[in-house]
Amino acid sequence: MSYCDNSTITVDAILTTKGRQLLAQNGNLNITSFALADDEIDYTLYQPNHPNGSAFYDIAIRNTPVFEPVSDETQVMKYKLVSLNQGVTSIPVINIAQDKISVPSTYTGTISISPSTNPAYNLTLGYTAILGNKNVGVLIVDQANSVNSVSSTIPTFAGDVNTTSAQVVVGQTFRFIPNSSLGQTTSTTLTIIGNESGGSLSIEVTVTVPTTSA
Amino acid sequence: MIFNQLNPNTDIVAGRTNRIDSGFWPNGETFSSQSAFVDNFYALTQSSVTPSPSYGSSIYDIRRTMYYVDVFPDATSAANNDPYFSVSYGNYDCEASGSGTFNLDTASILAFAPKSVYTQYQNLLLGEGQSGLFQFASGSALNPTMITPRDIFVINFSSYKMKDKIDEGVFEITLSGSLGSITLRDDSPFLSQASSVYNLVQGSINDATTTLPAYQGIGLLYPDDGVAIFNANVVNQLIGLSSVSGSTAPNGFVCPANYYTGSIVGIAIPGQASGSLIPTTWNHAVFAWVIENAEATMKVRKSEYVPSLNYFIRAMNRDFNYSNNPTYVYNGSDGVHPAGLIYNQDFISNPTTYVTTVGLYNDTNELVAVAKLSRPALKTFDNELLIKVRLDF
Repeated sequence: MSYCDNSTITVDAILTTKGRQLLAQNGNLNITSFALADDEIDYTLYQPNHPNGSAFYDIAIRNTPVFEPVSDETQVMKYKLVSLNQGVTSIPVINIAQDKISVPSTYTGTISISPSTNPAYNLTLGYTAILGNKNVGVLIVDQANSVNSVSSTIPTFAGDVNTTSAQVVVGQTFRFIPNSSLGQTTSTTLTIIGNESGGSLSIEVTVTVPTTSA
Repeated sequence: MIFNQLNPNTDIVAGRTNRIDSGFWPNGETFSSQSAFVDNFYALTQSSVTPSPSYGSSIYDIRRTMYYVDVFPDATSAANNDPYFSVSYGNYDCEASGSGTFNLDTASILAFAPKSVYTQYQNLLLGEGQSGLFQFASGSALNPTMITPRDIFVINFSSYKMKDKIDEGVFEITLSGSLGSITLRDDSPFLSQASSVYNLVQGSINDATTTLPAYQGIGLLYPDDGVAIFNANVVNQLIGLSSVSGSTAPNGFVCPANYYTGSIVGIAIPGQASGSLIPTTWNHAVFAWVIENAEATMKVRKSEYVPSLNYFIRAMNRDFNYSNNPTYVYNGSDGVHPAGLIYNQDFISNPTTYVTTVGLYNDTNELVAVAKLSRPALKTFDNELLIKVRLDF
């Protein structure tokens, strides 16, 4: 007699809403890759000064209860784990030139959105840009990447984005064109997600409608 | 990188099917008190005094209680209209349907309910080479003879509830009438070969005996179809169904009639003599009553066959040791630490993460399945994780 082999963790998966939709449409899921996440973890609970020693540094984290899976693919896998070389001191951070976008609906100039990552990352798979409310305007992919340029779903967490009202595009750089026929001043969120690093950045987008004088 | 590719040759195992057994009754229980059973016979007929199981507002509004009644394990299930099995009565010879007091059935509707029911189960359960009558083993277990009664009671388990099959060997029911009670089980534990149909014999699944009792031609269990067929005449002989009208079961329900196979004069079917057996449409309600009248538990277990895909998630030592979790890094708001700088010095010297979630993605990076670990799993450059993710369909 021997003890059970506990080197393998066995878990049951559930299909997301998107997975069920694809299964109904295509008859298969075509799963090709995986990612790991730590949505429930609060790393500030790591206690390197725990009086009982190093075995207790992460006692609060290891005992954190874990939620059951939910089928809404926009509400899980929010914070993905990332593979980086040992010795790095920073997680790749996404930057864009704007800290917000605020333009009138009649604006006809070019509003370029060119994400970059520091340290350099997302060079192959690029970025996913999510415009929370597509009524305010349209995102256009200026520079596509080798993977794809349009996604039909929100691939990662983007706050409380309504899937049906959001526009999702994938590429290296983007351009925003405000909706010239917008009826009233509207604000929404533009989220940029690194498709390799998993990091994200959100800025506010406001399209103003000029008031007409009598 | 946040995505790792799965190797279809080593990481994905397809074609696995797992059998899941559980109790048939609410909350996965194997036992359910028969005296708590409720049927909807009276609920769907006019009253407990003068039920009209055959028709509703007109003779053309034929009710399903003419064919079967649903049985619920308790009042809650009945209130939710969530039946667990149905009870029917079938008659091979019946050429018309209706009770002797409800001659509109025979004069106008001619729905032939017991005949329809018998033919349904005949078509479903009997092979083409068989005689068309259900055959029940009777006599010695070693050398039984086959009897072919012409009327049957049927228990038909809800497909939704029983999933793929009723488990042979874990089936027990008690019937109680005016002459007494019998407890029945299937004979599968005494047989050396699996079959699609088993004979019902007297006894409990808790009996320790290994000797097959003599057959009495009582009934048949079709586990894969979720159907039990009972020999109506033998059940009548053993427990007494002919003098139960007006009797009250422990659950308070009154038996609406006696088991009846009398004839109605005047029905002539071409090629057959008039006066064919015209069983009452209430026979199935009588059988539902004798189930509810038994102060015993009905024991049923079900099985489900679940095809599954297994994905072996291999997080190697160099992978997934950093996190995008906002508590993992500074956000740059303090003006001292730049955004993205790892918050904890220990995580710089010894990068550490705690995995709680596994996401499975398709080739366009769409999240199609998600699995959660029961507790956070440590991941560092010093260890590797092997997580088997099972996806059931």
